[in-house]
Amino acid sequence: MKKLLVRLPDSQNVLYVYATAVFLVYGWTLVASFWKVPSWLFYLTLGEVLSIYSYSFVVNFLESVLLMLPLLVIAFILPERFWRRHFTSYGIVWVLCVAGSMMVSLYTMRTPNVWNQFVHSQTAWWSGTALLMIALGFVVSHISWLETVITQLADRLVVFLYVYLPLTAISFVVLAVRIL
Amino acid sequence: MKSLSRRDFLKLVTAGAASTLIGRRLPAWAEGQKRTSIILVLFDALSAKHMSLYGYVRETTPQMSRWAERATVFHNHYAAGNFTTSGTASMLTGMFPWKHRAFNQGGVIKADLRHNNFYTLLGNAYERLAFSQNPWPDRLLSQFYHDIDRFLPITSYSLRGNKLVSDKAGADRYLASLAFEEFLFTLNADVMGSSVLGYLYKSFALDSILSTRDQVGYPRGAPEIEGYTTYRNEDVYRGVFREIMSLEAAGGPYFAYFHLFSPHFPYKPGKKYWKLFQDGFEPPSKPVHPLSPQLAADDVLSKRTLYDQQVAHVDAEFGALMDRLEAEGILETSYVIATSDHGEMFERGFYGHGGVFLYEPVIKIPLLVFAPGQTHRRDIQIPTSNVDILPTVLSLAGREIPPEVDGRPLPGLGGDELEQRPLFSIYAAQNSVFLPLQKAAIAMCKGAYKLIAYFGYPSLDNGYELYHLEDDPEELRNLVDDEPLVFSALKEELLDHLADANRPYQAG
Repeated sequence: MKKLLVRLPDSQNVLYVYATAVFLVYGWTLVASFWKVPSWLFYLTLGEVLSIYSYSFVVNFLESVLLMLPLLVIAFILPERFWRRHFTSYGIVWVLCVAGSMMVSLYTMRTPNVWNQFVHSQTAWWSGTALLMIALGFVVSHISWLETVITQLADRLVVFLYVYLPLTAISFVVLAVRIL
Repeated sequence: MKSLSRRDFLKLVTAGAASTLIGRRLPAWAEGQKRTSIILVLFDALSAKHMSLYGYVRETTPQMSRWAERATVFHNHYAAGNFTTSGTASMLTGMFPWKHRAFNQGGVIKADLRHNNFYTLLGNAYERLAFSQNPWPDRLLSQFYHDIDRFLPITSYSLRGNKLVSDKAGADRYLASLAFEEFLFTLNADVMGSSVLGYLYKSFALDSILSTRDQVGYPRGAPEIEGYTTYRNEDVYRGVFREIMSLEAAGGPYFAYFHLFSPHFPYKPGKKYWKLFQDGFEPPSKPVHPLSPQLAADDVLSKRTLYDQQVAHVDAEFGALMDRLEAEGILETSYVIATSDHGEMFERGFYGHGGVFLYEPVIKIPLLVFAPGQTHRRDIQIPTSNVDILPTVLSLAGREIPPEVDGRPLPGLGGDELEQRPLFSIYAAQNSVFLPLQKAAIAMCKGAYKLIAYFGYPSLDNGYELYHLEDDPEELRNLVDDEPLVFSALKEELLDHLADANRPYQAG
């Protein structure tokens, strides 16, 4: 087991990448909710609005884990020199590109009249995202000050974990009570 | 304890009197059949003004006309709201929107009044089924989750087989539907609340919806519940029949509510119907309403024709369903109630429903009641409302009618035919449910008169419209200035009711 764990990146590095993922996915949901809250307050009680946030935080938690899993699997499989040495910067590039690409796509193609475009542009969209990811990964791994900046920024984002993760734990309890 | 107002007292007395009279007021065919099953079929957005059964010039509903020969036909039946949430909530609770407070788009019924519904009040002596293709009524029904025995998912009998996320939320389905289908995983024009899982959901859901749009027999594509699923009417009606047969097989009496999406927009009639009504028909010219989007008359007329075709399709499916039910002998043992939640309008620079308009096409809806073994037609002309359906069903089932309920048993089905009473249709989607109504349109029908009042619309020169519906069924002559006495009496009555409705929400 210990031998296997050695193949995973350093926990501090994992934390930096995870904090970036959490910041993005929770942040997106919170901002999107600002469009909805005024109408919710027309007919929902505060408790009901908070319960909707409970659903949202649980979904956000699953999303953040989903974003991290491929990274950890890749780090586990590939030799250290390919991935683990630059885990933080590669990980952050991955999170930014994958989540960012989804967010841009959702925002720009949200009306029913572009549904066809959304479905049919997937291959091109993700090819572009992959190219961007490779280019950014290359740049980040070859410019050391950029890697430092990214790591420093990720370090600042860790503070959001102290807010979002306890809220997520409470949300799990709230939903368990509501559904069961 | 809250003090009893004069109106509450009168309602209590009326409800008490009604429940004691129910036994002898039931029609002959209903005597001795207290535990018959009840099937409630609702066609979303079906306007009585677009049905040949009710005199529309286009032959849109020949099947319903045929079946009406064995039904009680209500000729002046009104929805209590002009869009799905308010109209359906009023039917489910027997209350007007200003009381049940589900008047926002996608809103919910006030918590302390939720027990007033078919499912809770009929109790477990009935097997109770709920199915709504429309997500908003599904949310309302979710509020009665514990009292529903068979709760079908929205996507049942549709072309998208998978369930929605909220279907798995059990008793919390109503809030989960808000969280998932209207926020985190919404497919409509709003920003999706979930970025990663939302994106994946959207990819799979849209693939499923778009790949099922092209259907043989549907030249304009399969009908669609936008953002949810596609469906074919024949599948849905076959599904309804299958569910009824399954309930029959269970043996006991049952109550089944089917809220069917067609003829709701987008209008996509089947091949047999999409060439109907190329007849050069020109509806009466009406002034463009200042609050309308001022759509071109040609555009509105072309949408009207599509809608009429869709109505014809629904009519054919309903006729086939009734034929199947008759062949199985179900009509001998069950009530079938067919109605709508609101109508649809194609005039005054607007088409559809859900705007501020409360003209006849958008609030006058069909109501046909087929009693077990009924063989003759009965026509009821006095105005009735969808808030009357709950008390009617309760009286047919021998249940007490709660005093909070605004409706009363329908004439010919345990109710009275004599009294003139005010019936309200309310649009108040831009109000908080926790505050008095400030911006609303309210129609009050009483006898042959109809008063429409607009509150909180300063752009309107005149906030009132008064029509005599017998003399002017197209609502073209505003009688506010011509009949001042009638106007002031009706206005006072409406304001009195509005003040009563607002009182619990006044500060202090």
